[in-house]
Amino acid sequence: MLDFYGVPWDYEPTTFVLDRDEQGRVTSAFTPDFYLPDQDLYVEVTVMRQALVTRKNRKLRELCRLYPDVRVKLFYRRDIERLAQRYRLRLAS
Amino acid sequence: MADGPSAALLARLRAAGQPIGEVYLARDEIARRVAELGGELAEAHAGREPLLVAPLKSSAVFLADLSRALPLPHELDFVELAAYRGDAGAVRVLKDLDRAIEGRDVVLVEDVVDTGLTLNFLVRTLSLRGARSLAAVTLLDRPYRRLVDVPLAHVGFTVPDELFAGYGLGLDERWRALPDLHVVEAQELPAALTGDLYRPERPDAAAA
Repeated sequence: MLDFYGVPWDYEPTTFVLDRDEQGRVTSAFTPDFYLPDQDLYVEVTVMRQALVTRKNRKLRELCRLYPDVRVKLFYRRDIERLAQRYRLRLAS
Repeated sequence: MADGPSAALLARLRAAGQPIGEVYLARDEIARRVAELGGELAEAHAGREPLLVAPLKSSAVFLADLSRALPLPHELDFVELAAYRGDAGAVRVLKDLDRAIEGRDVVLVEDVVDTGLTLNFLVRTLSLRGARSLAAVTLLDRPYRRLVDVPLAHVGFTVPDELFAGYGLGLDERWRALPDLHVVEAQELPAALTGDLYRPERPDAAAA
């Protein structure tokens, strides 16, 4: 869809460190799926089961706390399905 | 609320088992807000002669009402974009503007802004043509999945995350003629596949 509308995007260009151990080794990190450079916006898409979504939500909150200047949006399965419905059913036409 | 021909149309749709739901915005409420938007646009474009541009087709009814609510000399034009089909390619302009817009004050008139991708494409495309100003007005704003920033100067209604039909908005070309805006009971719609919209295609995506 981004390609269709000519919106530039990168796939997983950045990994954000969320936690390190005492030796400085990374113990937790988060890599959003997409980066939209023109919007300076990261987009994470999750279509996985709820338990994993909860874990991802936690990481996302941590990312927002540690990197308050980073703009990131999380798209759930329901969001993707809604968009698919709207575009497939040509609501925008 | 429905009366006359619209009541008959609604009755026929429901009798045919169409998943058209309750009225979300009645025609009177829409008319009041469109009149206000006309006033807002007139104030923002005082002394100018804006060109109102609407993408076909869902915005046509809103554009017609907004035009009559705008107490300024203005012109109308339309564009039509190829709808997203999920089979790659790029958006195409099926019907371009009829005239040049260099030096004009252009107002894009949208029915719904969701991700902002369509409006963003139009803004990018038209901004290359030397318009003096470019603004956008939408009847409905559904900002929950906004992916791109768009210059939305005027918003009719910020609506919940539902599907709507009526007042020009169609669903597979149906229901545009209903004068009120209805909620569509989405659970009765065909199940949507997600693959076309979420398809990372970079070579390393599978291993990521």
